[in-house]
Amino acid sequence: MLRAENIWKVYNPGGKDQVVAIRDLNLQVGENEFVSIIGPSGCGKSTFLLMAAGLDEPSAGKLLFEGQQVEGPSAKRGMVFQSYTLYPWLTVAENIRFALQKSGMELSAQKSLVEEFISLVGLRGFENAYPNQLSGGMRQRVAIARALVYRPQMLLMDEPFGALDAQTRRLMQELLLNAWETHRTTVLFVTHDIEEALLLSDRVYVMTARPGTIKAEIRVHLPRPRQVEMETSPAFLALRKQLLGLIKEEVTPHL
Amino acid sequence: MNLPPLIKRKRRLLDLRADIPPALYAGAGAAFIAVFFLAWWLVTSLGWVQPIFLPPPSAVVQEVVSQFQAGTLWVDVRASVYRISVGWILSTLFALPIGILMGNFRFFEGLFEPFIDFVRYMPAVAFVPLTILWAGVGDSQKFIILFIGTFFQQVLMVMDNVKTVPYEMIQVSYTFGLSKWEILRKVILPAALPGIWDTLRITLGWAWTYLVVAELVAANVGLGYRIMRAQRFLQTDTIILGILVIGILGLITDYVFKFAYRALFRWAERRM
Repeated sequence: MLRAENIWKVYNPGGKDQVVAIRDLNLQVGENEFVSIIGPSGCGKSTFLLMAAGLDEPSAGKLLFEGQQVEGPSAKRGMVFQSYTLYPWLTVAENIRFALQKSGMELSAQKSLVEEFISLVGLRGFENAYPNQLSGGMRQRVAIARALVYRPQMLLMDEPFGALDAQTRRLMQELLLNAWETHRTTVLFVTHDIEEALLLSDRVYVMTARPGTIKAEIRVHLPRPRQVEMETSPAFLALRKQLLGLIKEEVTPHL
Repeated sequence: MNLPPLIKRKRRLLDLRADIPPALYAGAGAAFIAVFFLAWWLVTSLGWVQPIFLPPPSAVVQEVVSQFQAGTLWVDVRASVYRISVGWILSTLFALPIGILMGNFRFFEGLFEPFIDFVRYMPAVAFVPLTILWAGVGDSQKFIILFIGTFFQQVLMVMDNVKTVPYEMIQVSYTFGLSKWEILRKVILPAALPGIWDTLRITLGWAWTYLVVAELVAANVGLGYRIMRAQRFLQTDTIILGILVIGILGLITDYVFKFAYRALFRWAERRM
């Protein structure tokens, strides 16, 4: 579904302050697959995600979505950021419905869909609350509902739980798993949390430190549906150890 | 629920950032104003200063009554409010679109900002002689001074208001399939509006300063004119009345804007 071939990102090419952020990156994400990219900070994983959304351009290489070159953002690829991107002047329900305005659906159909997704992320009773009245975890739940409700073919998530505390993060991961089981879609998920990547993904790409490129690809053979409790299973722990080793090699020389 | 005997919280009035009872907060403000007027009354009634330099409050009250009966107060207020409204609205009409363009498009920022920064440092007062040559001594000269004084600050503040909208909010809006013009209209403008509203409130306050400057020199009606004329005849009570009236009018407009803000932008208030 998404295929990146020899992607480079170079800032100020040829200049004295030339920075190679991404170097010859190749990856692919299949239909309805949940794929994570994990790597040290500054490795270019978020930049790549912006490119996949069409919000940034590669300096070289081919980026194909459904066989076609990605050119600019579109409603086919939804995005969830780490920072809060809810519209503060709209209520929870209005925020979610905002994403449907280009869907061509009738208002009544929009409203029932919005209600369905509010239940999905467990925000019943908060329909008319403004984002300022919500906790960080609740806001990200709205952001996820908003990104799912208009059924983009692919969901791009840039450390969506990075700003949350550890307990909330666990709950959000379960919620996302549950939402994904109900509404299967293709997900490309960027994180630097190893457990998070393993728990959620079918495959995990490990990136090197800057200039970032794919260092390893790990298939996560854990049965679905998954729960947070799986994190203590021997299979999970073995994968975790393997990933930890790969990441450590990248982070240690930069400490 | 049965509560255990509660420990009485010590009241700490001057702890850093600590909250104090609302009544105390409001009361302190009122008391300070009362003390101010009391001190004024004291120094004048005890004869510490000559009435010609500082008249007693009673003289200012008498002046209110006599100006009210003569109708001059109303005429002056009306003339001044008219001038400030037109001048400020004119400035706002230009500052809003230009500031919004500058905040969203680097090209317009590059195009206008150097010039605006240049003019911004020219004192509006220095334009008074020039504007009299250009526009005479009528209302349009006042509008020009108000415009020069207000616009060049206002437009930069509107630009900054627009820039506070997080870029991620714009990026995520693209992924819903919106065009850049739709994002400008449906996302950036509503998001920047509370900030812009505050800019309007603040610049209206500044406009009062330029109004008096404009009226001090060439006018035959208006609060600034009344103050200037009173100086010639050493009517300090008239001067003080004029200043007080401007202060009160400013306070009223400020509160109107603040209350409207609360009504319009309830979502912008933190309630958790």
